[in-house]
Amino acid sequence: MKKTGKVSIKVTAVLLLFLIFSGCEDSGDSGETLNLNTGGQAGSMARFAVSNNSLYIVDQQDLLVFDITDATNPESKGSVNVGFGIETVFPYGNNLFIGSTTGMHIYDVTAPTNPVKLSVYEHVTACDPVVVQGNYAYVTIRNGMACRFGQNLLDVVDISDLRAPREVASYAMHNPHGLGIDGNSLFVTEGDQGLKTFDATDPVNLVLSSEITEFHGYDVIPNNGNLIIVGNDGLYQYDYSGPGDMTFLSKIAVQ
Amino acid sequence: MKPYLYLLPVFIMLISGCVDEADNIHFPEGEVDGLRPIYGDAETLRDIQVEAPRKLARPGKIYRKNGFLYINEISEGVHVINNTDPSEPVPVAFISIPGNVDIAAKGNIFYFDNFKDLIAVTVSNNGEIEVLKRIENVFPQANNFPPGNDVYFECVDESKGVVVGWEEATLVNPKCYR
Repeated sequence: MKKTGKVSIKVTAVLLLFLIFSGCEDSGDSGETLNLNTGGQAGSMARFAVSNNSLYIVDQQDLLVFDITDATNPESKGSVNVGFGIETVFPYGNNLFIGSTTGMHIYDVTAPTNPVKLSVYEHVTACDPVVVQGNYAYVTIRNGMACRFGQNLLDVVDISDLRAPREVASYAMHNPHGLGIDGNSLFVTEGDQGLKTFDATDPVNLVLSSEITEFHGYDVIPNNGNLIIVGNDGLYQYDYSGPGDMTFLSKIAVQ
Repeated sequence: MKPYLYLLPVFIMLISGCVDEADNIHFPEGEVDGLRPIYGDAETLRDIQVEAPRKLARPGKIYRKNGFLYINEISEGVHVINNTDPSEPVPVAFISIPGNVDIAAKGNIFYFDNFKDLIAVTVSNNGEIEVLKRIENVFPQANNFPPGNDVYFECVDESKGVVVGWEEATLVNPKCYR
């Protein structure tokens, strides 16, 4: 089965995958916004998060903990019940920010295999993820069939006291999904209305700086001026290194 | 009256809204377009392969590492894209991982969900992908729901085997929805 394919695959594998997986560490990662030992960066929709020597996975109601001190041999270290409708996890410093249908849960993982709940930022009806930078968390709240009766909002939450997160601003959105922040630029995918970029110099007063509507936006990774967006239409990349400017770089369309 | 009180039924609907056979969902009578589980052998679900690049069809989550992008193809695997030059990304391989939606990595080791299991993989010098560890049943619900939302589906009957995929079908009186 697929013999001819496998020959070319082998060639591809030898030439390219060795390169990929053998890990040219640090190249291109110098401006890493997530100050973690992963060498990599996930979008905000992730259910998996690597933080130092732990792999955290959220699954419906639980936060699962795996020790990956030996990366080749992940070991289960049990789980913590978080609550209903757990969807995403974002690692930041010694904390995990967990997005759920009822709110954002903040955990302390200073003791990596013993996550401790610090607080929950509750919103009434919701879906979707959270990203964090400095003293602020940015949470998208999306209406949809799986989370009906919801609203479409972008909330800015002051987390300077991790035990007492408080909303400092809330913005009406169209259909926000994934989001990402790098420096003063906050990127929010808007489903069938593409992508919005905000100037987050003052997190309490976000200013819309750009709107691109020609593709469906699901998740986004900002990396050193290179914005990576994925959605139903494919992969889109923009350069955001010029303040307020979004320069189209490439796309790989869904076929 | 407490403002949250009237939201209680809404909340109850919310938390039950994504599960099958919830009585708050309207299930149409007669023929409806939906998804039907494909049953098969559990071993086929564990067949992890590195293949030639594929076209993007239903892209999911994304992961970036060392100049490469890893784009999940929902329930099927991961597109590997050389993104050294973001104005000219080059697809280089597809890693076929049944049931995959999530991606993480530490060093040279990648972690994927493979239906109900969590796997740690690496690629050896000769280009073979190797599953270094498989932890079974980390995602016990993984097979029991079709990908996506807002879809009627034929309820899973585990006595028929494991679900290896979903196909579009005309359903009669479907009793499951997500």
